[in-house]
Amino acid sequence: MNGIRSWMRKNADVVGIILVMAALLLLFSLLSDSFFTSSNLMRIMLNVSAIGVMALGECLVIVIGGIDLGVSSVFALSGVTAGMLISRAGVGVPEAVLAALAAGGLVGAVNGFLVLKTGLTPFIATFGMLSMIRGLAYALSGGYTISVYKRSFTAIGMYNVGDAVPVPVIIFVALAMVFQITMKKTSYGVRLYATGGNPAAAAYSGIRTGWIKFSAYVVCGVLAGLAGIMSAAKLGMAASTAGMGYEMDVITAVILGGVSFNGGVGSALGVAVGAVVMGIIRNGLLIMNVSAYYQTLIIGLVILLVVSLDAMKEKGLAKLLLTLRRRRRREGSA
Amino acid sequence: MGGYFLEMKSMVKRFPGTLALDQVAFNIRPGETLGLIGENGAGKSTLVNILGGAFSDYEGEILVEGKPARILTPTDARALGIVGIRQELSLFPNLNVARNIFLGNEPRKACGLLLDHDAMAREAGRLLASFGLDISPETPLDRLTVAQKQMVEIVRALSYNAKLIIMDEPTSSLTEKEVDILAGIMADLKARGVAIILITHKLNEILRFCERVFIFRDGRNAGVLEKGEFSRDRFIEGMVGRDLGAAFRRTRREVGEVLLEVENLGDGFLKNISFKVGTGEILGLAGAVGAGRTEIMGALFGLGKISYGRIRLGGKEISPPHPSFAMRAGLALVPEERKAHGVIQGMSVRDNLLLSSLGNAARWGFVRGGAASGIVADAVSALNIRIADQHQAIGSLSGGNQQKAVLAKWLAVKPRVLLLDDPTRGIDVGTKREIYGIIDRLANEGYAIILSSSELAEVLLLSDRVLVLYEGSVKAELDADGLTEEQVLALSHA
Repeated sequence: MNGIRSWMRKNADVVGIILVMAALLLLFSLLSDSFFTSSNLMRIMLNVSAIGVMALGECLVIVIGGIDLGVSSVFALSGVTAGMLISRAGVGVPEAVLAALAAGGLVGAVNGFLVLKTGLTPFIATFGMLSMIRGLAYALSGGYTISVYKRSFTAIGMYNVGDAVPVPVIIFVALAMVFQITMKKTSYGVRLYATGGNPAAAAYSGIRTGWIKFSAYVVCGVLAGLAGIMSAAKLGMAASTAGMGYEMDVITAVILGGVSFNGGVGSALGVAVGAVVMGIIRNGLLIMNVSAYYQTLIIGLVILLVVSLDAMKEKGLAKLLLTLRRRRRREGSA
Repeated sequence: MGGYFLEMKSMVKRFPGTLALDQVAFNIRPGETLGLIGENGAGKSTLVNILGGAFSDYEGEILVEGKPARILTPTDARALGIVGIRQELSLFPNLNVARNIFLGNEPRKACGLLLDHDAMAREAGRLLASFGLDISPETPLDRLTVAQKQMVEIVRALSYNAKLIIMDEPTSSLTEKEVDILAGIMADLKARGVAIILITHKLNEILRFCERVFIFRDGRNAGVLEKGEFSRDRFIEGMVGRDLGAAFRRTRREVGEVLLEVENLGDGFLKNISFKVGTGEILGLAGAVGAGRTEIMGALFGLGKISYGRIRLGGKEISPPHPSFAMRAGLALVPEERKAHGVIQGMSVRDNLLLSSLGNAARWGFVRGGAASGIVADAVSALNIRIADQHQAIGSLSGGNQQKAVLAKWLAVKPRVLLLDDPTRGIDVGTKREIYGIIDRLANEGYAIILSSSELAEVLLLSDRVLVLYEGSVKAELDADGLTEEQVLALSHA
């Protein structure tokens, strides 16, 4: 009991979104019999895995006080890179996958360079890259969709481990755990939060904040690339138009996960749950035959609800702390 | 003598932990040029900030032209004709001179819908010419020199009928010739009946410009002198005299061998700085605001670009391009701006304390809970930091405890040289004493310490030797034994 309480205090930022998830699970289970089945829950996880993986990378970038708007283009570029290397150039699957991940990392490195060395704001720099990289994907593929039939490649998206858990779900859950541990338990994690929380103070403490920021952009690029591979493998084809607009879903997951756009606050666990919550809403509404238009509307509503609850919670907390401190001072002087 | 333009009585302003103004009285006549002097932290800025409408929670009575006035916002101040010319100028570099002068107050045409640019340029040209200033109203502001910008700010003040202009260190970035131009403008303002409050640490300027001077000390009045009574000695006598050390005596200790050697160091601002610090020695940096105390520490710690000179630590030459290099060389900095540079408010006490020593607390990149808790617990008990829980946010601690945490963060790295930039800033008196004790103890343990403070008495209290700085250069190097505030002030206030 005590353990739970101390965990909740240390992870206060994710408790809210976990409660939202529980409430949604309960709600849809009551509304429909076909919602809370293992096959449907697994379908939700499979559907959110690519967005979830991208959101983990985005989470790093937003925690260090930046933003990467270009992830959806990297998603397409990496799929196209892997697809062309395998289907057109006859390169082996592992090499092609590595090359696609490297392409993602390279884009991330360019983002980092632009933000750190040219003084462009992250929003503008990555907004430009969003368009540039999409264009690169078009140019590389000539606009054609590339089919990839190699079993060893499609397995990344389709194989079910133990006939039950699809590989993308395993990747997503494993990465969420790795990120959560990295951010909360390693010295890199402490430096990451410090850099986002107060870059000047972090630098004054001897932290190479430039490298920390750079690393976040690179990791974000690699994960966007990985998501692109997962998706291309699942569909058996890569398209330069893939993932158009996904940056919105990614950022939605990050916001739902309680990451502050001021930097320095947020967790991978929260972001992973945020991605799942979005999947639950989409899936639940679909099962209840709500039109896709309303799904988008409702997701917007949930974002505003969760974020304003968060803001109110923070304001309430600040007020509470202030009264407590005043009381303590009064007692101290008395 | 006629009535006062402005009169302030029993002014009180509190900040958390300090009483910035304590029953202060102040007044100024129309057309008078009045000096306001005092050591750093004496209450000068607080007083003029009240006049500028920066605070709404002060006590006391303000009379403007004999009528009670309440100044709660900058708009109130401006409506009364009170305008401040700040050290950091408040103009818009992207707009031209005329637009800057009339900002928020523009002549209009077409029933007030459009700005009348012609009238604006004409009017601005007339105002500038009336001061004999050769500046075109169409020039973009960022093409002007600092001095010209200041002139534009004064002209702007007149454009909304200022009756009292507050100048806070107006000559700090001006050349001799520009000071002469400013002098002309001040005479001109006087002829127009505008009152001027001049805050400066250059006592020569008081002698040159002012008819009367108010001296503040520790947030209280420490005298008013009329022109006939002016002398540098009397100014300094009024400014000194705070007693910090009632319960504290510095330890007499043997200074060890030279550890840090700075030779002929300079950058854009600092000029030919040379000094040495030995193990177990405290070198104090004295000087007015902007004399170069913070800049020296920044240059040593890799925060600025050094253009020439050498730094040697333990005989080895270092030139840190970034604080992380300075840290590895054995330097540690407790910065002046605790909130902006010292702590990360949202993070826990534990993480803040570990920031610089993560290498020691981690194995294979993972922070080891036990080792980390040990480092934190040691720091907390060594410096007597009062916390409820290692995981509480550092922002919830008092300023003094936050400052101790910043120091503890560095001690955990086991540095050899400590740079302490105004380490007791904004800290209550009790904790100040405690920090004095800690600094003294650290010197006894063999750290080489460079200490700067906005309070001169503090530097004299703790240091073995004192370096007096003036506008980026070393004015004097003095033994702290028997050194008085008067002697130092006479050097640091030209």
